[in-house]
Amino acid sequence: MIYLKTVLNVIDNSGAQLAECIKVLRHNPKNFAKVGDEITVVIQKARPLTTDITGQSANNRVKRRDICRAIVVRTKSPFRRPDGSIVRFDDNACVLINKNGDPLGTRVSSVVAKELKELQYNKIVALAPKIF
Amino acid sequence: MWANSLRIVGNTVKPLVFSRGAARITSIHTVTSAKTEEPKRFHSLESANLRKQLLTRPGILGVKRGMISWYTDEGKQLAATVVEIDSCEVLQNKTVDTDGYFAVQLGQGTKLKNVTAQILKHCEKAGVSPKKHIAEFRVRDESGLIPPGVEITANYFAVGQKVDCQSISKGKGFAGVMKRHNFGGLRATHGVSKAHRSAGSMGATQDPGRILPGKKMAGHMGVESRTILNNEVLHVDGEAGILVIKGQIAGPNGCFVKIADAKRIYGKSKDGSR
Amino acid sequence: MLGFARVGLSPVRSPILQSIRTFIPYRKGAIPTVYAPLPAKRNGELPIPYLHKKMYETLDPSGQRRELINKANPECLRAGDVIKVTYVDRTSVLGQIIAIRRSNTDSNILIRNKITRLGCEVRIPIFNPRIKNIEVVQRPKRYLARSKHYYIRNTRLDVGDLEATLRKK
Repeated sequence: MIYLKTVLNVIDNSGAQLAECIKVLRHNPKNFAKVGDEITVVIQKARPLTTDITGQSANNRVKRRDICRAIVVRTKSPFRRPDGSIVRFDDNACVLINKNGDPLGTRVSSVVAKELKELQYNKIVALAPKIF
Repeated sequence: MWANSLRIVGNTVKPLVFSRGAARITSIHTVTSAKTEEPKRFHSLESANLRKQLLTRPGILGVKRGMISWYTDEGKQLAATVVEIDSCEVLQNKTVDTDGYFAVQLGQGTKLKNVTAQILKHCEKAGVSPKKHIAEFRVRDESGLIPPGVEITANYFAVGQKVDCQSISKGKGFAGVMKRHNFGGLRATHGVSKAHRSAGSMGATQDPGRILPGKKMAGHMGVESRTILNNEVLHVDGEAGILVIKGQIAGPNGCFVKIADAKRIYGKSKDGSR
Repeated sequence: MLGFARVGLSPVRSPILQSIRTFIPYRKGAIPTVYAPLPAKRNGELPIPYLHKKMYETLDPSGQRRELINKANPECLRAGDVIKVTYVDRTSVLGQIIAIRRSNTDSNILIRNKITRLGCEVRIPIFNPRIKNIEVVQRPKRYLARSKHYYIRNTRLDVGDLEATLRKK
């Protein structure tokens, strides 16, 4: 259940570390973002531009107070799968994307939910080390 | 003198004789041997019955017993309601000639204590044991009528078809305006005095100077007849008298349910993917 | 297909009951005959327990799944065991049991694992027909207190990376 003011971990190597949700896109204003939904975020914490990040060029780095789009990949709030199983992660996480839907980073650092595969976010799924 | 004038009575044709011979109803070119159908009158019970959206066959009566989770073969888990179909028998048929419409009256359950004389005589006529609940289903024409005394089991419905379930919803007692009409209430703080869940204003001031009829207020909520449409039948067991229906049915466990074929099928329904 | 209990659509008259207590006593007029009710379905058993029994015949014919969570079974699952759930399409989930919810065919087990240092939990309904096998991978030497282990989350008692510990063995 991600909505305005929710702080999410950013798990790609775009440079951002914490992002705060400022808008849930394509939803009723009273509805929340779930795994696979697109949100608009503002970067609250990012790695300093001087430090190097493997696999990431300097142009694509994201700074603090940048506004970008993101896809929710993990939620702490449990969600139900059609086979009746209920999945829950220990934190809320997102991956930054650009307007076309391509991820801004080149690597994803931890596990993402299986729902992204059905929602055709194949690039993020391919980058992820593990799918749960 | 004007024996050529004719009078149509039912299907027969009789000569119309006028005392003064002034009027002529039919033309002299009428072919008297030709018989035509009397046109169906618009203002008649038969036409009214044909105009209505009615099912061709009746439904059945049951009792809601609880909910379970049901697994499909693909591995989907669905919430389902279990309805018990226990001694559901036909009591009476109603026809246009006797009652003005076609209907099948069914009875469900068994009641052997404190049964009124009228119910006892009614069930004796059908040859069945006294029933706990009696309800009728209106049908389109006499092809949907079933002889009295016949027991209808859960096999009446096919697995995968859609049904409408009508029952009386749970009672909520005297419900406040926030529960009954989804009103927003007032603030919790900032000076609101003892009115946090009230309706607020009841209308305008001197014009109209009264509360308009239909104003939503607190009051009794629940215990109303509700029909849940297009629930899929998941499992049917005629001998055991069990019907498993996908989704929810109004009313508490133990409530009486009228189940009929779905009248308004819309969307994807044939393959049961909805 | 119409589901009528008797073939030929003709009712069979049940035997007549001797007497029935009525609300209004009969003072004049013929007392109506009262027919006996139809024989009880399911031998008088309640519908939902009967339905659970029927569902077990398809979902768990050998009774193995039921034995996994049957408290009377000394080998039953407990919070603290590490289990591996394998599905029919050969995917599997590994995790430590945190909670077991016993409710007939809706029984489910909550398992927790740490994947890439992140805690992931899933509540699996064990009678789902897509589940091929549930096997115990490891049982702890000493079980923790309580039958539900929600309190271990984010403490020093929390599960580790179970796949790594399995590989070490």
